Amino acid sequence: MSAGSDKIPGSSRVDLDGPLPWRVLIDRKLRITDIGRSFKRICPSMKVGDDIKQHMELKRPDRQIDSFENIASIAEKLVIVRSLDTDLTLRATFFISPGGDTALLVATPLVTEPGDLWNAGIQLADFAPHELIADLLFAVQARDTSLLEVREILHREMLISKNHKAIVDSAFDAMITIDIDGRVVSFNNSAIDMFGFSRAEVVGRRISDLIIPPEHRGAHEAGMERFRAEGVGQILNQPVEITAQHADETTFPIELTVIPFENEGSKFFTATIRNLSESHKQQALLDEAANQERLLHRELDHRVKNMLATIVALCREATKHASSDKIILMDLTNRVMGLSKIHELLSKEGGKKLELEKLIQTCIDPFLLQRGETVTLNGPCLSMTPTAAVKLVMVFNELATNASKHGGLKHEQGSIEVNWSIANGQLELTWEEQHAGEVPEELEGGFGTMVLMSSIPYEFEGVVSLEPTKDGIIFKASIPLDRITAS
Amino acid sequence: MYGLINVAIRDLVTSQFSQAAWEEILAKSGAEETAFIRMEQNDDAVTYALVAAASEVLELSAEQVLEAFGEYWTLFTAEEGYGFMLDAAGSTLPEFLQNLDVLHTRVGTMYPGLKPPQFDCSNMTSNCLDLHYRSERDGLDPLVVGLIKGLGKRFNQSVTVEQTVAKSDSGKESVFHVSWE
Repeated sequence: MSAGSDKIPGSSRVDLDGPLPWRVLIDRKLRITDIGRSFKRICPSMKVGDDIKQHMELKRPDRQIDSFENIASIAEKLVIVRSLDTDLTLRATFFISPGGDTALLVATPLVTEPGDLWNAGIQLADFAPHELIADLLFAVQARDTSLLEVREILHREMLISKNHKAIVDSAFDAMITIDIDGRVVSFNNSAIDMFGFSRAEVVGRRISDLIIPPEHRGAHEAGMERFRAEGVGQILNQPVEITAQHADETTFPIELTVIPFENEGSKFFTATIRNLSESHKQQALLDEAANQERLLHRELDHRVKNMLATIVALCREATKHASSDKIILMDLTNRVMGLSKIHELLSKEGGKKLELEKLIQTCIDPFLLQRGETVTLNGPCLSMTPTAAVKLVMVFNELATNASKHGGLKHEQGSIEVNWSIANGQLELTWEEQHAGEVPEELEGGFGTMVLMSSIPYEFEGVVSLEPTKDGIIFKASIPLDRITAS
Repeated sequence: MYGLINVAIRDLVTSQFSQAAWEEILAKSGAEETAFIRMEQNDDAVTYALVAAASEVLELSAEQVLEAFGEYWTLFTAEEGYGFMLDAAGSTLPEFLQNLDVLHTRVGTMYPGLKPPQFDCSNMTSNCLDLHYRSERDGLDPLVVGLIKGLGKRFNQSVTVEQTVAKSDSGKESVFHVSWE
């Protein structure tokens, strides 16, 4: 039992260090007569016999513990005292003994943060079991832990919110959120680009007044009303193609997906919108390309069949008119090569329109001897359909073949002059050879002559003539323009 | 149990194993909540389910999981801001073990509904004591073993723990003989 414990009436059988570990007993001369076990933690230099003023001061501006009377005047009141040893403050109360000769200071450290325990060198066991200060520290710790957690949650929410905003703002698609009344809540960057409104212009306004064309506004409002009443919507949760309106009131096709959601008891809709203008253009191009491919396939089929028929005819005619196998072989080789050139030319041009000049040049080039022959091509630019080109190439191939065998391309001094013009919806063409040195044999009804004389009238309803001159031939053709040119 | 316990299990798994392991444990446990609030009370079944799932996923026995958790708990509570309170509970292992009960009692006064365990010391000498553990919950003896080992690390003392009495046998308490160098 501590020295002063028996001075408290009725306490003789109680070890006061248990219930009052933070206590000091002083006599009328302010001398310390007893010190509780825990008080030594915060006033390590305190010992029995010391003046209380050496170790403690009252934290009041007008009163000090400099006399027993002063102490008695604040007895049984809550006061704050400070340890001069450690600067720690304590909540305290003085009690005066019934005889008035002893004052009991009962205190407890005024610690409000768990870290104060460490700073003051105090342990939980220093507190009496019933003291609430120690419990308070756990409450403070619980509060701090909760605050820490709230901060973490807020931080996470903020990150999620930032991420969400970044995703929405960087989304390629327009994303618009409206509330249950159809008023815009959010409008992402793509929506700004797509519809030409600024965010300030749209937030809080009814979406139907902004991006929905007037003719669809009634249906939109009816759909909203139905959702408000029945909680269902016809266009929800699925992509639909409709027309939207730009800020400049032009309209464009969009794909729209509207998802309803609930947040904090309020209903919203988020619409993801994709501008289909470009996609529609692309689709049109694809459709056109597919059509063209189908046409090409048909054209190829037709052309191959024609070509095979032509080759069969060539074979038949060559054997009919030629005098020897060698000549048959040479004629067939030349003509099949001519056909080959046609296809090479058409292949290079990809089935597109062909220039007449290029066509004639292609037919003549293989026969040039590079010995000074003169080939002159004169005429306006004229684009022909691939079909017309194939048929005309047969004619020019025959002319060039004949010229190389008998006419303008046989001799160094030979020349070919091709002139054409357009008049009264007709192509007027003249092929004239000079300095041939001999009259072509085939003028007398050979296969080549048959091709020259019959192709154009048969294929184009044109008119042709083939006349010998003194040193060559002159071939003339008049062809309806609309039969050979693209419309 | 308070969410703090489940948060500690999560941190133990994510720090010593992986986030993926924790996600798998969560899924296997069938926990409806995927995030735990420290100061919110959860059903004990949630914690037991997490321990069972951790045992399966980490391929450890439930006892090993509980012991690892007990050891981690000392570190976790110190890092969670309870370090000062742990400091105030004692500056040596025996001192801390003697104050363990008042520590839990005081925590119990602050957390409504908390059912803290009870700890008492007996047969104390300069290098050993018997720690008596009583709890309303069953099956957590390995956690106490881990807790004592964790405290040994906290006070940088080599500690040996031997369970001398199991609640399953005595019907009322478990006793651990704790010795240190």
